[in-house]
Amino acid sequence: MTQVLRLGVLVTVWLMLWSDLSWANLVSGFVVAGAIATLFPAWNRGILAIRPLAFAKFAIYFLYKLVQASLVVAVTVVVPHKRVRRGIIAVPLQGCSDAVATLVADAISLTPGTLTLEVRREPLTLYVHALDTRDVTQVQREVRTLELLAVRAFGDADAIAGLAVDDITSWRAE
Amino acid sequence: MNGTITDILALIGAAFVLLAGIGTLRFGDLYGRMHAATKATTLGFALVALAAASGLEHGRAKVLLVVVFVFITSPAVAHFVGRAAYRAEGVDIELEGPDDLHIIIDEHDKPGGQ
Repeated sequence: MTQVLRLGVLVTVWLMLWSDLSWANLVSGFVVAGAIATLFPAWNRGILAIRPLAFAKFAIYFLYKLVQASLVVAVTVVVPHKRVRRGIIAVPLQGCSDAVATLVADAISLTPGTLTLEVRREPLTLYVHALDTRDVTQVQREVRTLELLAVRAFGDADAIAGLAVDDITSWRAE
Repeated sequence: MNGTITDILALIGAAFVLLAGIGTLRFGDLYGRMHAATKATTLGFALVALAAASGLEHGRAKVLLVVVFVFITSPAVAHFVGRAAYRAEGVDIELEGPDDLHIIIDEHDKPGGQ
């Protein structure tokens, strides 16, 4: 199933590149996708899962945050701003795969006031530059929200099970 | 009608990119500049690309694919610039708040430090 999904992604990219749906493109797409899957073992590592509903939630939340971030930048340029405490905060991620961690790190850089600077393994931690660190837990909570949405959309079964134990509500209660 | 939507999208997108550019010039330190250069330009570019896609007859899917790739590459670029800047000397970085990264990065990592 994962293999089919992987090939599907590659063939879709190929078809989009040609922007033309024809049998020739479809067949050549499968040939290229097959070659990539054979020649680059890294492409086949891990489990690829996409849950459409959870993915839609992640996408909507992310786009909302991106628009908000851009508006904040725009407003800050037009209206001179007061400097608040800028700092770098360590944010532990809880048991997501490398691929999901990459997605979270990328998404953080596009959401308001935060920028990923460094990633460390064992334990998996993101170092995030934040424009406002007056409330550190607030920054960590925002990263955590993104992680939860990303794991629900792309994580494997184990990661999802991990989320159930360490739910966002318990995080908020801390 | 379709043309109007195209124009509006292109205008808003261009405005975001312009403001991001001004922000990059005006903001005090490197990370402040990067905040402006990463977020607003990405959205601005996406809007301009959407305008292009809605105005095009052919190749819309290709333009949308470009947007997807920019969403992947733009934060990755910011990540690497930020990472390098922290280690480099003579880069203007102002932090009033906590700095958790300092703890894990050896002074040996910095070119001048010993």
